Amino acid sequence: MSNPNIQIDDEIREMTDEEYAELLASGWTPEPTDE
Amino acid sequence: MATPPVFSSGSVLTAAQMNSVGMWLVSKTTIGSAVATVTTGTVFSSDYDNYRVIIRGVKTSAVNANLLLNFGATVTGYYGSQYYDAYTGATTGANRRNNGANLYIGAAENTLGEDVHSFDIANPFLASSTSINGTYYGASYSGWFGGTQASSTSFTTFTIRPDAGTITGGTITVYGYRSQ
Repeated sequence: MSNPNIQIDDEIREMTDEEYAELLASGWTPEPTDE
Repeated sequence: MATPPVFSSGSVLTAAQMNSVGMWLVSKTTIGSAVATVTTGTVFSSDYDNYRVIIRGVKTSAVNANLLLNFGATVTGYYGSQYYDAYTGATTGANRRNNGANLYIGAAENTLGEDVHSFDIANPFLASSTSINGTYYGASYSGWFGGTQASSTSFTTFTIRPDAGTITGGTITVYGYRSQ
């Protein structure tokens, strides 16, 4: 399964494993929520 | 002689007139497809102390996702809150950050892309606390948000992301307030 995309200015690419780990550590969840 | 803010074709503008212009476009970023985070290019500099940001037309993959804001690479020391009120009257409340990892900047749309988030940023480039205050509409919610990044870090960029899933489309426009 691929990592989510990251956009920096106008460039879009797949997150590195390190970036994805940081995103998950920040509390982000890949699944939709219904708050 | 031209008198700001009304100009006529062929008007010659003096430095004093140009220096009286209160707001300048700094950058406009178009958000791509299915991105989990969006980081601006360099938008904060010594040119301006304060900035206005308008984010509009964002679609989230998650239902009722909130947008979150970070300055630079800093992921601690955020203090603030967000109020939300559904136009149906069914839901109202607040989300808060007390030494959190980011700031809330309002709910975004899941399908319609009708959301708008407008806020001011004070002192992001200065070596002092960076504070925001603004309002939003998205996903049937209206509200306000505000907060601070309580460090003396000087920032040149900011990042937005949803608290869940990804975002597609919309724009991030940054203006600088002239204050000198």
